Amino acid sequence: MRASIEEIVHEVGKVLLGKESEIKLALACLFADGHLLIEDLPGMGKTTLGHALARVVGLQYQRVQFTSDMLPADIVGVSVFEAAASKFSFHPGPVFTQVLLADEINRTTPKTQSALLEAMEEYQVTVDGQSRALPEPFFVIATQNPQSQMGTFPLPESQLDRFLMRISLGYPDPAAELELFKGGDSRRHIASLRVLLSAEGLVDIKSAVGTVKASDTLIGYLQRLVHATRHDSQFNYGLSPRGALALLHGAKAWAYMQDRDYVVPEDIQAVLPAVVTHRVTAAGSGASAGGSIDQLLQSVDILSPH
Amino acid sequence: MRGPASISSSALKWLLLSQLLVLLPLTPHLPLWLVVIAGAMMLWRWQLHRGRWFYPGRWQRALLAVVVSGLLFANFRGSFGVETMLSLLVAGFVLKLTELRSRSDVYLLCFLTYFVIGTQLLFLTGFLGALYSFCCLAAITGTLVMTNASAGGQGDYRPWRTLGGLMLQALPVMLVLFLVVPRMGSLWTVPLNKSAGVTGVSDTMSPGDFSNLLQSDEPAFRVTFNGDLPTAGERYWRALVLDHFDGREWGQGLFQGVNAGRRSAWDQWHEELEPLGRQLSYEIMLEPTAKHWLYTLAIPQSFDDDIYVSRGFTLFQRKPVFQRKQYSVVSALEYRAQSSGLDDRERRSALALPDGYNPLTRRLAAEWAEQEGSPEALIQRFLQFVQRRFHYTLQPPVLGEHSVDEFLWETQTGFCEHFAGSFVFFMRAAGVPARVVVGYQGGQVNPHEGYLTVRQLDAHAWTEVWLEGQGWRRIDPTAAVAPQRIDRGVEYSLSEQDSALLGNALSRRFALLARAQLQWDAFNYRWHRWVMEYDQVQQQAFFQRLLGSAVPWKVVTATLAALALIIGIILLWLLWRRRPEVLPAEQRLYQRFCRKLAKAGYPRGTGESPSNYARRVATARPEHASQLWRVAILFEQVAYAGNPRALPEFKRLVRRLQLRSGR
Repeated sequence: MRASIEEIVHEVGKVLLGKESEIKLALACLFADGHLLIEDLPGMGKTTLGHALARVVGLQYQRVQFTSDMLPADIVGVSVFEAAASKFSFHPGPVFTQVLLADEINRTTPKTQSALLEAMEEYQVTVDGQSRALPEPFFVIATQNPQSQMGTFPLPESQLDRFLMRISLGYPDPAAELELFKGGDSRRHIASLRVLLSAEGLVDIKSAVGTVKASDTLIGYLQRLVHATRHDSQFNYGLSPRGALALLHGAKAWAYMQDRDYVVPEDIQAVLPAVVTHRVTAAGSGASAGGSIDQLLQSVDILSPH
Repeated sequence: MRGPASISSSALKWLLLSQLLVLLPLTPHLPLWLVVIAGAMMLWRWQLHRGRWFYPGRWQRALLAVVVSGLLFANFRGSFGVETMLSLLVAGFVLKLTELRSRSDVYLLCFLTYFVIGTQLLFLTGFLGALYSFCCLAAITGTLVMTNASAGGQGDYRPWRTLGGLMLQALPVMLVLFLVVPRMGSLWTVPLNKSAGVTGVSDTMSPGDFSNLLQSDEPAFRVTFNGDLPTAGERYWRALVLDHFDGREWGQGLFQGVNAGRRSAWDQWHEELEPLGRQLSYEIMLEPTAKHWLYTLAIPQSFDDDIYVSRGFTLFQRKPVFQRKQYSVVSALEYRAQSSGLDDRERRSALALPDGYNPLTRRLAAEWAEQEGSPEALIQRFLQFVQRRFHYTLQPPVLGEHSVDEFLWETQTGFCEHFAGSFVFFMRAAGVPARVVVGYQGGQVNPHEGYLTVRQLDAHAWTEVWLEGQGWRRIDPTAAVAPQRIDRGVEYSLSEQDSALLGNALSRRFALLARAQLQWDAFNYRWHRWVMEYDQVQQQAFFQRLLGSAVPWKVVTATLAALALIIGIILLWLLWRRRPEVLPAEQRLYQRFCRKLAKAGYPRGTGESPSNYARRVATARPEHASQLWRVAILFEQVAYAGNPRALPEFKRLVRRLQLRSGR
């Protein structure tokens, strides 16, 4: 792995113990210019991950806790009439930041959700007929709690598609947990983390990811994978062309992190579960697509059929 | 929402269109009222489809069926001919439209249509006809395809491809079946109620008859000679002898008539005929004439069994020629016929003249006969007289009651029928037995196939005179006035104004058209000779040529082999279409590498990436670890990093890799 990336992962890993692969995926998502959705129970370190990542990469950080009574203006900002100056002035909302942690995004109304999702797609918000560009880079980490669905507004498939990856953190392994207990609250350590990257450095990395090469042999593998999701009875929906492109882009970012300027099948295999699981629905009620995805990876040949 | 069994709009359009196509060539053979009903039914079904009209109720349908059956009975009065059966078939065919509701009805109608297409071939015997039937076949098969096609949008080309594929695959099978299925003669013959008049030489001759024939360029028959062709002056195609004159019209006397069937046949003809010199053997393919008589060169010597000879040495058969007929004849170009003498009845009929006509000719004939003495000299004098004074034209002046008088001594312009008729009248008046012979004279050699085409415009009339000791001798007075008519053909013997009236005027003006016509004629001839006339004999000959002998096991084996070949070609084509794409070199090499490892007991998992695979095997066989790693890296370099320079080393490594099996 690229030394600089290794260092970032290590630095973030200081506060989020034993979650190296998730950190890497989150980084890949950031480098691939996508947004991240973390699905997990409360207290698993979602916020820690977002905060630490922003700190180490050297980006501004904002956190919004979504509630059911929230309005779009609470996120994008509002124009307020100032009597003294006798004119409207715009008070930017929390969305005007470089890393936005949108906590419990499924708690709020679809209207508010879509205001955020629009900002994610367009990289700008429109208030009072005026478009305002968001800062560069703009990276959203949204979280949602998969367990208690009462009184929530689950994101529809079309909006899930806006997130490049969806990951879940899971419980830490015993060793990591032991260390966690010893070290106390990790959040206090975040401020002490080293800043290893800057916004400008991140832009360079993004453009370098764009130049990573994908050979015909690899594209063939990608195509077979996508084809398999569309024709496998395990999935209700196959992967859309946008989903396939996202997969390729994620794989490129992963390849970049591995210090390669070309994509190998392993890159695709590494990011595929995170990129694909929320885009395809597993057939059969309530079943997670996870198991099916593993089967998919095992059954699709990386070599062209002969 | 349509039910699964409903008829799609495109299928119905196809069905109606193909019905129209199929029925079109049959209309001349159907009663007019049935054609009208057929049109009405199609219109009804179409309006039904558009939602304008309604399905007829059960009683209405029953009424329709009864009315049509009644009309059929009234029309044919129980006669059992092809046209009766055809009309019945067509009636059922179109009435089915009134209860066409579901897909299964469409299938039924489609299968019926195939049958109706079969009946087309009774009437369409030419190549173009067969082509047309094939188009009908394609249309109705298209209907079937359309009916089965799942709702495709406009401009969907897949049904067309299916149709094309079906027809193309059927074609070779059809060819093999055509060649090998046993040819059986028809078990029974059904008379075709042919009422349409077909042009050709008729059994009467009056002034003006021939000019109609001359306006037709249609072939009358085609002749293939087994050997040399006769010269132009020898091509007299004899059809009928006319020996009865009623003052205006020449017709068949009771004696020589050929219309009386078997009774017209003359059994002793052989004894009265003495062939001299050259004999020619040939085959004639006669176009349908709806007449009994057949054509033969000069005088027939031997011929097929079902043909008879009349007392005038002409050939005929018992039934009219309604379909193209092929027969072979051997003819004598020189002969002596009835040289031993005529019997009384025959002599009387060869001298008979109606009373009260042409007094001048009668008087002059008697005078000339007295002056000349011998019949030969009389003939010579007459021919010289004709040669000097007469004029050959297609537009003769109209003749009055005493036609021979007027022609011989006043107008002196006319055509073969005038010359022949007048000459015979003159000879009879002079006491020499004579008769008119009608048929064709000439024929055009087709340069492509070498056969001779005799067209309607070659129609001709000449005469025969009976001379003591010589028998019947052919005299052609037309040859005296217009020798080119005999040597080169009718088109070269006429003035420009006249020849514009001939049926082939257009093609004579444009050489290209004439050539095209000859080519087309040759093609049609071949079509009939090899396709329409392909019978048991030809089939046996075909087997002989192909297999050496026509023993059943050879035929069956050859048939199966041919069919297997066709199916094999189609299968190969299908396989070729689904062939896998050729893999790039590095993938093939890597597959080889994987096979080597698999043999050693480490098969690759389907979704296993090269480095994972290498790692797994390297863990099991550490002694090869570096080699395995190198292979994986090189493969990634070539296949994913796009680095072809690594290929030679990769190739070398894969070749050299030796992994013993087991652990």
